[in-house]
Amino acid sequence: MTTAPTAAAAPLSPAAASPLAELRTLKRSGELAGSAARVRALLGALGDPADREAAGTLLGGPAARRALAGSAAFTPVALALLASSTADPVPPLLTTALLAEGVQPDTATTGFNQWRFEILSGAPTLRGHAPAVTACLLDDSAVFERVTDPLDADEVVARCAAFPAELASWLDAYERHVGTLAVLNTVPLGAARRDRWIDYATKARVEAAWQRMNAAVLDLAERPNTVVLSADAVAGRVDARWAAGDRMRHIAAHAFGTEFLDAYAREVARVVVARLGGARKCLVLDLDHTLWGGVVGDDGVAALKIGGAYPGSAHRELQSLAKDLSRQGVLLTVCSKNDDAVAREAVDSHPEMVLRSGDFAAFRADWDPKPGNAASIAAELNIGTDAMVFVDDNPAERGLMARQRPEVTVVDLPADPSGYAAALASAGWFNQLRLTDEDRVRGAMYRARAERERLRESADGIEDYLRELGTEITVEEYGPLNGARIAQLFGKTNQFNLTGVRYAADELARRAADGTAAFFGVRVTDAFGDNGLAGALALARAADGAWLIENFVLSCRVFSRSVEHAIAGLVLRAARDAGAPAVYGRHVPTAKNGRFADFYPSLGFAGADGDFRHDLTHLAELPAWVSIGTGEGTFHAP
Amino acid sequence: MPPEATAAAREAAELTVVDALAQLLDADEDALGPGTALAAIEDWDSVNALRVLVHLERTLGAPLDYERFAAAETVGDIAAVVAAVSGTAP
Repeated sequence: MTTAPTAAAAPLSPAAASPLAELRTLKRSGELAGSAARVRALLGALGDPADREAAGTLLGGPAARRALAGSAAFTPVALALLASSTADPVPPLLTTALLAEGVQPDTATTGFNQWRFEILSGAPTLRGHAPAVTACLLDDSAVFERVTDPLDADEVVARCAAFPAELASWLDAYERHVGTLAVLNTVPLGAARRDRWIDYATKARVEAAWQRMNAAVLDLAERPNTVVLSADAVAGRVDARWAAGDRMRHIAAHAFGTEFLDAYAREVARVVVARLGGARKCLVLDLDHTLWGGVVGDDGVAALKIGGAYPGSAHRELQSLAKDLSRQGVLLTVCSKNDDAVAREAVDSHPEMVLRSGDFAAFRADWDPKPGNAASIAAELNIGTDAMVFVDDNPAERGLMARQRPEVTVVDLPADPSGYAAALASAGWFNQLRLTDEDRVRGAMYRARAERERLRESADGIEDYLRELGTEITVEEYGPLNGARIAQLFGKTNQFNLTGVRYAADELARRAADGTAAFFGVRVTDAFGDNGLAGALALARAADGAWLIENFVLSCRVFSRSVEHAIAGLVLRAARDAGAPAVYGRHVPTAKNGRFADFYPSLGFAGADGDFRHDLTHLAELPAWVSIGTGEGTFHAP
Repeated sequence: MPPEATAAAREAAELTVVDALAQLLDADEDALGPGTALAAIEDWDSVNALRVLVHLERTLGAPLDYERFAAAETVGDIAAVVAAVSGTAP
């Protein structure tokens, strides 16, 4: 027997109420809008799928939606969910998973089993909704609905062979009518279908055809703007079977169980966050009892448990995971309560360490509070604290970080170190749609950047520093070789992103081909190395023949070094040389780009409220300490 | 026919149902009683009815009589279905 919620009776001790009851209280008392951080924390604390569904229903109603939207603490995003079975729990589960991430979804759905008809008939429901991501959840009925005799193995095998091509043409139609990111999944074969055959030879034959079908469905992920999730991997993450109980299958036409649907919604939420440029970029690691067993300051380097037998093996597993994350572009940093010299000696001298000080882009071993250290690391690396994931064995340190820096993602480590690596890996905070070569060498670039910072401190003035840095920029026209990186720059850059417009890979290709925009990348090198393609521009043509800078993004690795002024100066010169009457620039405020609101005025653009125009009569000198590479390309409007 | 539940069991079942409606539909528990028509509760529809069913079965740890549940018209009708499961233990 459950008792009535106690939140109303004890409003002063919210910890006593369940998270769900507290959410209800906040909604009832009209406090949702002012409690964004609390709402996110409460949703993050919900574990049970039924509670998560209830919370999403609670916060997805019209009044709660308006209140949360009014708080301006959530990034709105339009989504769509299509399914071949009943998937009613998914929209509220998505609401819960995404609100916890600071994103407020508005999820359009179509009627039961309308996934095929909706898209093939021109997406009448979805088109107006303009979803940034569409998830299409398929179960085995999508395959079997075109099988006349489910016992006829020949027919089932033939149907399995035809299904991937059918999904590919569905994706073609989706691309034509909607054109944004689509999320598909492998199709699990239900027991009710599989157990129909009684001879083992036929069971094996059908199983083989089914697995070939799913392999071909996974191959669809090679298409642009397509993500294919493995249903087995999603179910494995929560240790749940994917299928709905037989009762709900009959009562409600549910194909999938609630645990699976919750895990699926969390995975789709990760895809949405990655699409919105919210993938985390930096791992903040504690040392004692986290990267190694023991306390180096008390026990000495030789006594640390790393590698070898458990628990040393568990700490080494975490290090090895961190190393693999860094090889994919995640920045590693240390934030530890230790004396700096003691900590560095342990990192660099213990023979079983996987990570050495050269693997870390920043290293804080001191006795200052960790929330402040995290902020100073973020400033040093020129990233937001919301791009950080904090790993610390100590619940008190985790609690302090969560309270003082709620935007930092805190990994809820289990008590036993054997679960550390899995807790970090399975959360998927760093998941991205596509990796580029730039990602794989990012760590080296950031370490070179740290060297630059040291030079800045030693150089007399900022201009001396910039001269010694010897920056060179080279303009590259968009093409097949740099397209993925240019899409990623538009997708992932949050601070120097002047209009917030993000162009997906297929949009770049389409608009470049139809001549409505010209896209460029800018390569930046300096005395310390190649920063790679670090900037991207979208140029369009205004009605009066002037050039319009639709968007201009620059990686945080290189801005504030006059690179942005040099690039804009090159655009202005190219426009003048081409005889254009003017260049228009826009600044559309986002949560992160406020410090660049005056970028265009600082270059001699006139205007206000984010709309600027340069008449090209007087151009400022290009910064003398940035040289311009030649031969690759020059800016031009379409 | 299941044996009739005791008055105490019946009252406990009503609390369980009201709690479920409050949790899942954000209904105001003070305004709900055994005589409240389900159709009068905001957001009561087939999808939410199913959520309530799943929630109640999870709370009770036992399946409810689906046909009686589906035919229920008032909060009290659902409470009777719940009491039939929870209120008959010796």
